Amino acid sequence: MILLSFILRKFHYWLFGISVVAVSCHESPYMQGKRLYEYHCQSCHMEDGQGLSRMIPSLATSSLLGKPEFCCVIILGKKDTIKNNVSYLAQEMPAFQSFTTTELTNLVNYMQHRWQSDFAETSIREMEEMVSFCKQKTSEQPAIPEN
Amino acid sequence: MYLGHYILLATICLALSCSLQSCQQTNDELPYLGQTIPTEDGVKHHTVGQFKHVNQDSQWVDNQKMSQYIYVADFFFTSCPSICPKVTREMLKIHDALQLDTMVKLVSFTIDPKRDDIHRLKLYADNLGVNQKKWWFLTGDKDATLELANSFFVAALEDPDAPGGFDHSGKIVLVDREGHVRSFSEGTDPTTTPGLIKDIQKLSASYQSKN
Repeated sequence: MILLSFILRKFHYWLFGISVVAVSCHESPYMQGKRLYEYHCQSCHMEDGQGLSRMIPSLATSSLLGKPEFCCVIILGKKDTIKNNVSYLAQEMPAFQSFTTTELTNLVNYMQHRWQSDFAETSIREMEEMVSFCKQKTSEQPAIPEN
Repeated sequence: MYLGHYILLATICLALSCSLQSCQQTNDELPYLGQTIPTEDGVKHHTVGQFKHVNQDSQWVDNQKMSQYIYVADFFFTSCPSICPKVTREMLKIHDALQLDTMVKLVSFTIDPKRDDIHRLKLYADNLGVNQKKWWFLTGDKDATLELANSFFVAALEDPDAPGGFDHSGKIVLVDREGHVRSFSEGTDPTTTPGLIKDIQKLSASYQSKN
């Protein structure tokens, strides 16, 4: 009885503690990446990153996630059909050239954190290297303007 | 005297349970959505507009052809950068759930026929990897399609400021063999899809029990 009254009296502390644990368990550490994903990627690649059949590729199961080629597609877009190891795709992927290196880093880290179990965080310096690698390819493949 | 009370009470209970049961049976039937007008013969329910479109295999599809089936319809365009992929994903769930029910068809009307010609619709259907005898992608006159959408209770209009040039809602609408709208789901809200699938199964079963 005494214990119960003690728990009830300190109830707001308990509630606060539970909330902190709940928030820390569910919130992604990459909040900017999450917001960028929701605004720019989610309408096609879906909330769960699974895409749509053969038409919009799955990001959640992509073997390229986090690799330089993956970042290049974000920056340069894809106008031609994309080989997906299964079939071809017809939807255009717009180029997101306006993303800063920090935004790209947060976006890619958000996706990797969410969908890769053996995730290793990409640093801004690593992303800068990937961006310069991609920009070398710009001359080879013209980018699609962002809608 | 007391026995009389008991008999009266039992009779009332029996009458109540019967009326509740009949009520339940009436509620089992899907409602007719839209305006219902009383006529001399009974009532006239809202009916979807007349259409004559072409599918991805260059076949004519019109109201008469659709009267052989119950169908779900949505309005989309292949280059839509906003809600269409989400709605198509929900249509895909319906397609997969009702794969074996030959009474059920799916139709997707393009509201951008200028870009979505038969070839493009065929490519879209191929890439989706669906049974193209079950799911038809239809193209036709743009203005007629935009007007048709209204009769399906779907808002669709051309808007240069909207993403992709068209503004439209993502409703998925269930139509019976007589052309009446019987149920719908919000294609942008996946939680409403299972309810629509149940309604399609219920409607399909009601026709099969008549045969």
